[in-house]
Amino acid sequence: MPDIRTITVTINGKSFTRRVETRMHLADFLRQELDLTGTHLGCEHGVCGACTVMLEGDAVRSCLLLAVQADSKTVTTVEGLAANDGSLHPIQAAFQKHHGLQCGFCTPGMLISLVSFLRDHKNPDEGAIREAISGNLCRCTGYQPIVDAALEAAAACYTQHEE
Amino acid sequence: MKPAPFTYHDPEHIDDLIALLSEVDDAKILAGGQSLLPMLNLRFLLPDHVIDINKIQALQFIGRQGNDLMIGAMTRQKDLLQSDTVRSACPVMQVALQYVGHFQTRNRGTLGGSLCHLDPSAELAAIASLYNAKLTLRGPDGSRNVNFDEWPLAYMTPNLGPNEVLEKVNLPLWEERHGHAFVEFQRRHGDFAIVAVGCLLAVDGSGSITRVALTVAGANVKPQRLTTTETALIGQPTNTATFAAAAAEAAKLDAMSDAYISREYRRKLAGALVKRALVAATASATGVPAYA
Amino acid sequence: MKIENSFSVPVDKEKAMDILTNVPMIAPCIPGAELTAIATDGVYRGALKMRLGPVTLTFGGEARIIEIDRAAGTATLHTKGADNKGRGGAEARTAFRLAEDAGQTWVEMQTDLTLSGSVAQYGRAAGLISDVAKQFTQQFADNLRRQLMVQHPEAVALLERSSAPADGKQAVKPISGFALIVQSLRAMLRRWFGLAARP
Repeated sequence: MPDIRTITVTINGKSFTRRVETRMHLADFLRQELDLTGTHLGCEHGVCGACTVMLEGDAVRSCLLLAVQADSKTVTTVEGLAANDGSLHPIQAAFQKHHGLQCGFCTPGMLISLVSFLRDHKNPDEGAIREAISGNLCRCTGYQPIVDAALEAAAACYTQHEE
Repeated sequence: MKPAPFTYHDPEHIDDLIALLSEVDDAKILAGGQSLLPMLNLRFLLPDHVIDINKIQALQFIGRQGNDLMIGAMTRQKDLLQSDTVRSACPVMQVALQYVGHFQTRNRGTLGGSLCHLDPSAELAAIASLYNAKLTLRGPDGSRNVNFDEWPLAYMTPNLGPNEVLEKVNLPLWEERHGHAFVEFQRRHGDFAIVAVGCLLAVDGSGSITRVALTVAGANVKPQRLTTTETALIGQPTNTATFAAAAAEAAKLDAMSDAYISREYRRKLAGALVKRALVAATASATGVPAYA
Repeated sequence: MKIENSFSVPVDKEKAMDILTNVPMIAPCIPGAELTAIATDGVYRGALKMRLGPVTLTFGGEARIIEIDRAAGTATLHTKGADNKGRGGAEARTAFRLAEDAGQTWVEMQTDLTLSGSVAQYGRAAGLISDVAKQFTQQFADNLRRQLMVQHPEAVALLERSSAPADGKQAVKPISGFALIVQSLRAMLRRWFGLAARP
């Protein structure tokens, strides 16, 4: 007899109500129940950062949260970063300009982590950015273009795209 | 992999939690989840019940009463890092916290979860060891206190009964003016510590050590207070010779060996890090940078 | 793997033999074990709960005494069980040899332990299983000794004098159903979450 609960979660501003097994983690809920496959699974034990989303405004590992723990809470995924008219979030625009991605697998987690970090740190230097992304593993870029993009996004006027 | 099926519970009050713990068999408490969920995802653990205590507000607090710093077990690591109370009362905890996982895991991870999981390299366990923190447990028969030196019973096995929950942690702060340090060695930033050392140090007007606490994490299954080294340091001047002697003494500690890191290397690291910690703690105590 | 334990009791060999060959008497001495059913053919069914760090294992299995030779003072306890969640199994044969010496009985135990399935994996590196097994059988031996003395009132005074643990420290009051085992899953967990997760 599977243990099932009904949960209501607000994701990128939209409310979803679903019945889920209590053992389902939040990343699988987003990907399988809601088809929000922007959030990726790399390791499923919290170290790679590909699954990073924002829960109540804090960057967290969605593979280390049960979906039921997001009941009545707000979640932001990479799909929620661009504006409704499709214009890119400053961090996305900066990634595009500086080639901050190649295969794109780490990118959603990188973007969410940086959005969260840059909201709390207005004028970071390169060292602080490298520290901030130390929990997001990238196999392609060597991190430099990601750091460059983050520095540019930090310098840009940030308040235009508040979450 | 995904977790095996379990029955999920989310009590909102501590009394309901205690009652539940006595009713169910084979349960794991879900605190921050940053250590438990990996074990569930990899099916290393197959509990029949998972009890989520994130809704119990009464377990999240930071307070200071005189020289007691009291922290609720469910207090998030992020909140400890941002707390002004912790910054002034226990700055060494904030230094240590910067080594704990990454900011994303610190947004969920808790003090109590770390102390109950008792990974040998856990920085928060090292801090609790440094102060010999008093842990308060709640169970069906009421509360009991356990000092941290009696908390780890074995590898990743705390002195916690199956019907009990860790409620809060009390750090007895040093009254006298003192310095602090926390140093860690790992291969990459954010990795588990291979060895970490925490230090509190007080010196008198002539620069002699009046009180010192040294703890080593990662060398063995639980954090170890270097009581022999501490005793030998009392009355000693804070100079190179003293630190070298302390490092040599520290390097004799009981260390474990595994397929990746030998006992000898852990001992060597312990000695080197003790020296660094003493240098840093002296600088912190006197306000004068010291070079060893 | 083979583990040896031995102890002496101020109880005569015949009485010691009676107890050691009586499964309901010695089952409570096995750390974390409880008997759930007594069978008619000398086979007892039971459960053994063991905590290894964060993991709780529950073995369901059976125990029986085989190969009793009262004249020689030998008996063998055979236990075997499987983890109820399919993580593997354990089988042990403990051979007792009793020798009388001036009113005291010297008890030698030789345990041959075999683990199978993922339970066996838990101990692969750093001699983990042997440490755990040694602690387990030592606790069994200590409990047996206490049981032998408790069964004989004339030994109660001696029990009081000798019941303090060797290192003089009682870490915690016994937690029912759990065996607290020193030494480690460390190699396995570090491999899965520590150095393997963050190589």
